[in-house]
Amino acid sequence: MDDYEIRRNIWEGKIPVEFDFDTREFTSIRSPQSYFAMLPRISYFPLCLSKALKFLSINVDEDIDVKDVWLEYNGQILKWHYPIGLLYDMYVADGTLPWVINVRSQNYPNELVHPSKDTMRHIFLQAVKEADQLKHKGQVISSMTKDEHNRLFDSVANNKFDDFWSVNKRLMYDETNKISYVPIRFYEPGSPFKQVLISPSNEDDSPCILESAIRKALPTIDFSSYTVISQGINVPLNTSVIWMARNLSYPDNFIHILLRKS
Amino acid sequence: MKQKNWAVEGYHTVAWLVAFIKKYLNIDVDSSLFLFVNQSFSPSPDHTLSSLHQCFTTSDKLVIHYSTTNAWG
Repeated sequence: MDDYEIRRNIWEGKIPVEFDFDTREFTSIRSPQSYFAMLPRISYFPLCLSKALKFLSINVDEDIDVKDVWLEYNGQILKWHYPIGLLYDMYVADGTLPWVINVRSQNYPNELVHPSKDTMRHIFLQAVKEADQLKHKGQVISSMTKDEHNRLFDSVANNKFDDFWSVNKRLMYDETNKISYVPIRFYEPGSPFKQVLISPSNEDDSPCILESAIRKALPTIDFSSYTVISQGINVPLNTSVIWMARNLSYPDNFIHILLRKS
Repeated sequence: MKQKNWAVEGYHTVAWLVAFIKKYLNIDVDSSLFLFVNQSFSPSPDHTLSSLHQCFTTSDKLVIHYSTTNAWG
């Protein structure tokens, strides 16, 4: 049940990004107008932007207020509180690399959450709490100290796999508390995500597979017109959801599934 | 809040609900308002109310607590 190699590879997955500074908004930018970075799929943009912003401040004459900076791809606002890998899977259907992201400084979208580290910490931990509410009625997360909660977030911010799993293993493998429901979200670009109660086992005790979980959330789905992706991988429909919960979840303890129209 | 029970379309998101409550309680748009489900977590602003209801309903009602401070965080 525990595939260490898979969990390690998922954690270390990175996406090459080219931050392209919009020359209409950063009018004084000197060459080069792009900054390249390898970003962790499991992290969040606000936690990975400091070097790009430092580059920007060196290469422009105008005063940039970091608070005005936001990211856009193909006309889509990149939400600060979605994992980087999920955003890439959602919006880059053709899989092109590097991911060329447009950096903007005007018309900051109202709907974006505040990208401060404190806000990211809050949103991340609330997602972990929600996941544990589904898994264990919140009993495991509430038995942890605030310090342990912070270690979950800080280890993502600092990219420390072992630190993360030293705490997360209790949320993933709790002997005294059987998993009630598997935290899983289904995304179709352009719509709010769908989340429903998914039991890890079927009525006959066989493990619930991804196909059944998707059908529960989207009863009328025609699988022939969709590709099912998570963590950048085409996930086979007969994969057990409990296995996915333990090995393919993002650090927020949710399985994030992208349903892409083929 | 005077009226505690509401019937709301499920397609609305938590973000919509936050804006709605702020308007109803005359809270400034830029002030913080925290919502809590089951007094245990703050839902993502993108959660639809129907998803929350499906996952966390108690006797057919979705119970949400609100606060201007991070009370259950």
